[in-house]
Amino acid sequence: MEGLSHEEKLRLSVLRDVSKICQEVGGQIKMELEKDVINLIGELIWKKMRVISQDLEHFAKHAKRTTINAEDVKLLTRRNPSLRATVCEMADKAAKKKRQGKEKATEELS
Amino acid sequence: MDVEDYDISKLTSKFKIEAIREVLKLHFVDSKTRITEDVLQLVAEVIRIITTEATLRASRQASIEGLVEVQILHVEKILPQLMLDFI
Repeated sequence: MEGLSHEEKLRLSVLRDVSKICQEVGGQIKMELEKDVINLIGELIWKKMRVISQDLEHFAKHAKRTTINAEDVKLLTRRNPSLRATVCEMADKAAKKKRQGKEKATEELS
Repeated sequence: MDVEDYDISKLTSKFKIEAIREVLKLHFVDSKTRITEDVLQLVAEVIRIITTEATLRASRQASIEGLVEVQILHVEKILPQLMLDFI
């Protein structure tokens, strides 16, 4: 890992996580994945992450914000209804948890 | 489990949140752009789902061709459609 740029290290880290996921899925459905297949999917995800970053930044900017929020991620998944539903469900759950945490804190205060 | 009835809730591997944060930061044009922890979790899940979907579609392509080993050409075949309809 010595001598690698920050970007290269991140790329390797993403590739490692992609590889873990691919191997696990492959094991579960009893399919063998060639090493090149995993590298290609890794490359694809790396490039996709760049597009996702820029899209999210632009969405936030369009809404005159500098902080990316859950609405931006929902907009990102607009073309895939089931993915959008998953994101909405996750975002709702996180928001609910946060609210409950706050209520608990105020209860303790009063 | 096979390709058609795959259940993603059984998948335990995840992306490292810190790595996702760094990659996003790397690609932001404006240094003022921020992202919160909750939203980062959403992005990580989206990326995890894309990874899984790519693996499953390539695997399905391989099994249609009667193979149990997924080769690079299977990924190449499913790639254009994945890029068009997935995200």
